[in-house]
Amino acid sequence: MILREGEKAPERTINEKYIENCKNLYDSLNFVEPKKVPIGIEVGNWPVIYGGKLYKDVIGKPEETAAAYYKFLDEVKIDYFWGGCGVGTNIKALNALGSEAYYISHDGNTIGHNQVGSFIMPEEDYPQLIEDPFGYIKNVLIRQRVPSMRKDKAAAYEDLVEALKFVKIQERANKLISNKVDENGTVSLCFSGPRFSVPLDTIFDTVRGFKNTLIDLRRRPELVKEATDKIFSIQNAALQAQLPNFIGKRDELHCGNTVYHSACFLNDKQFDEYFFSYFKEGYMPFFNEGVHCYLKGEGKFLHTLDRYRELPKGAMVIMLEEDDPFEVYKAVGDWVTIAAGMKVDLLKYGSKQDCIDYAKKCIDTFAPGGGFIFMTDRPLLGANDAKFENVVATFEFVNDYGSKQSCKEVI
Amino acid sequence: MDNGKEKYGYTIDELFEMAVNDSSWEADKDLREVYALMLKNQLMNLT
Repeated sequence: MILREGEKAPERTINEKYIENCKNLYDSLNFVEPKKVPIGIEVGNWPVIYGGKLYKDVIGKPEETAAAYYKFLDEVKIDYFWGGCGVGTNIKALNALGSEAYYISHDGNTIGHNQVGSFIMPEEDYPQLIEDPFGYIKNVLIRQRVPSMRKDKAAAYEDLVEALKFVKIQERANKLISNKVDENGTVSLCFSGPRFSVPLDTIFDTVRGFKNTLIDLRRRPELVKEATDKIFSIQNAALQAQLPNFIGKRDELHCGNTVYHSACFLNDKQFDEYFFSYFKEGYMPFFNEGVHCYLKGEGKFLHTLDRYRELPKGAMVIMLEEDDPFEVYKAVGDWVTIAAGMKVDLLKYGSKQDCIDYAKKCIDTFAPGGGFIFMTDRPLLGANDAKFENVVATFEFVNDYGSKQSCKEVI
Repeated sequence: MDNGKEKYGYTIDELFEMAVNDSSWEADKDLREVYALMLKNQLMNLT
């Protein structure tokens, strides 16, 4: 779960555990060795499976959804989520509007995504996109993609209200889940800072899709650049308007987020042009105020990380996916906080001891001196994404060992 | 840019505004605004 434009983080109930977790995160991100390595995990609907249910059976039932989630939250001790925790994409609301963009996969639990069936902006519409990017998405793409938005006013409104009722139901589930998260003192790290939306990702994710965007970068790069410049100018104005909220608050934990969606498919020149130059311009004022930015990396991207030395030390927290964290640590471990420590492949295919050995090696290597927070390399989503016993054993171990890593000779 | 008002008789913004002002599905106006924003964002980010 992430916060999108205009959405506010839910108000938190703060307890002593939450304050302690914030302190450990603050220290880690500022390269001070924390009392305990902050322990995080990324999950989608996997906790529902852990709770003995399938999402298809509890969808639309807030109390049952939350109850299924609670077993995971009770039994696996988590200090932070990088985003929020709960159910994200609202399939029922989208279905009420006639959209089948998302669906529950064959395992009965994972939310699948149907980009192939989506209406894609035709290339001749680039001038309209450049003129008014978000107007184009709203007035052209939503009309094409959401059948109810092509009905007459009365019918469209009826469907919209039905969809909103499903939003209300799902948010009831998420409220119950976040109450438990609060009770546990778990921090939603990136709700404490601004989100940087990547201009090219708007085209890649929403407007032209994966394949067409990569083709456009080769055949019509000038149009892509005009579009990303326009998108950036709009989004950056909204980003900078948040800056006063962070001035003079260096002694508080503030960490926003961004993501690599298109980035790992770009060559060096494209990466600088379409990601890093915008990011640096947009986020540097926040870095100058002591705000951090959590990058949820996707794919392999070690070749991009040297750029982050242009930012203040400790500014970035980088969640790794396919890169070897030990190679990344050698390259930039003295400058950026690494969010790594467990491969989901190992949770699925390895033994308990394999998982513990790998986690121990990561903590021993990365944790001394701060600049490390424990995180899985991928979200747990599907029914078979991890063995329960591996997850339980790993998190028991890291919660214990992460508290003692600075005197590991006694272990 | 054509916002669809002529063709469909309403704009998408107008439709959401109606829902924000309609207490039949949720009594609390703040919540109506939050839920409407969440759904609109989901539609704006459909991929």
